[in-house]
Amino acid sequence: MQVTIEFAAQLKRAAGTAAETVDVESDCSVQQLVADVAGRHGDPLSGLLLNHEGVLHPSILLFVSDEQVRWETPRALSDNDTVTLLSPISGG
Amino acid sequence: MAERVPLTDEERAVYEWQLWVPEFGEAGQERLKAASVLVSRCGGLGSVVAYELVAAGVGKLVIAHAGNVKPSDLNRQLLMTHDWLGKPRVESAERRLKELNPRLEIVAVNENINEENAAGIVEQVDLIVDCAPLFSERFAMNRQAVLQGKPIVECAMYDMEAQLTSIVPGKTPCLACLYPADPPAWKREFPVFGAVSGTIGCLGAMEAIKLLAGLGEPLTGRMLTCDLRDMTFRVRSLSRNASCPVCAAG
Repeated sequence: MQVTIEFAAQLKRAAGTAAETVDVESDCSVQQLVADVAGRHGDPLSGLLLNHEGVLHPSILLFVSDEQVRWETPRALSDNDTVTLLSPISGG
Repeated sequence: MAERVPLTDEERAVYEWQLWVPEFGEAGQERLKAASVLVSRCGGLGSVVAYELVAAGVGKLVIAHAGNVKPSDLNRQLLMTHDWLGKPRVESAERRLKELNPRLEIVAVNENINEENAAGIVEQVDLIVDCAPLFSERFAMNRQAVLQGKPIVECAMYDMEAQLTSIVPGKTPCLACLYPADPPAWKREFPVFGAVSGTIGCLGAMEAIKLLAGLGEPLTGRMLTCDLRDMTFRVRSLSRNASCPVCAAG
């Protein structure tokens, strides 16, 4: 199945793209997808997304179809899902 | 929702066009007049938030911002002017706000919010609009807002993107639910246009007006994300963190 992953703010700059569509196994979870994306891109994106234990940095917001997903809660993906990763931003 | 203070005839004339807004009317304007708001800081975002709230007739505005006006402020900090370079930002902001609406109380604090002053400053207001650049400031305000049960409108920007959400303690995720620790990758200075900060500043001011007047549907438990490169605007749902160190116990 296919899913689209979107990157925002600093993550977009690190990924070099705003979004990409990838083929994944039908039983892929969003956690697996993020780990795969981090591994495929490498640094600097990988370092912004995951800590050295492979866990999503707590300040990165993760959404599936515009609904926030917490990293510790396994979430299966469906065909044509859109996964969004937001890095924290502020004022100035 | 704020209490109400009766309007004068002059105020009815000044705010006439917004008094025509359905579900707002004179009762909504009276609530704005009775309300007090903290805007921290009054930079790119906060200048526009403060300007719009003063134009709308919020009764008391507390603005907190340390430091002097620098040339690099002037592309977006619309309450700062060339003739005020090297002088305190908060004085420039107060002067500009009073020029626009002399009927209101403006309290200018020449400090940024921190853990020491947050409680006393937050105590002075009904609502906070968070426009601060440093997460340490944002976390200090969030902690006090949760302790004092006051809503916060969270405004943020980067490049041509922006985020906006409204926090109501006890009902929505708080800032620490979303960002439990200082984000390691965040940098104090970043690319941005004044038109981006102005856009999100106007939206943030509208959220504050809605929360104070009981108007419309604020972004409570939801986050608006905008990408002005392609004009994508989306609203996403947020969830509370059951183990949040700031708001979970409440």
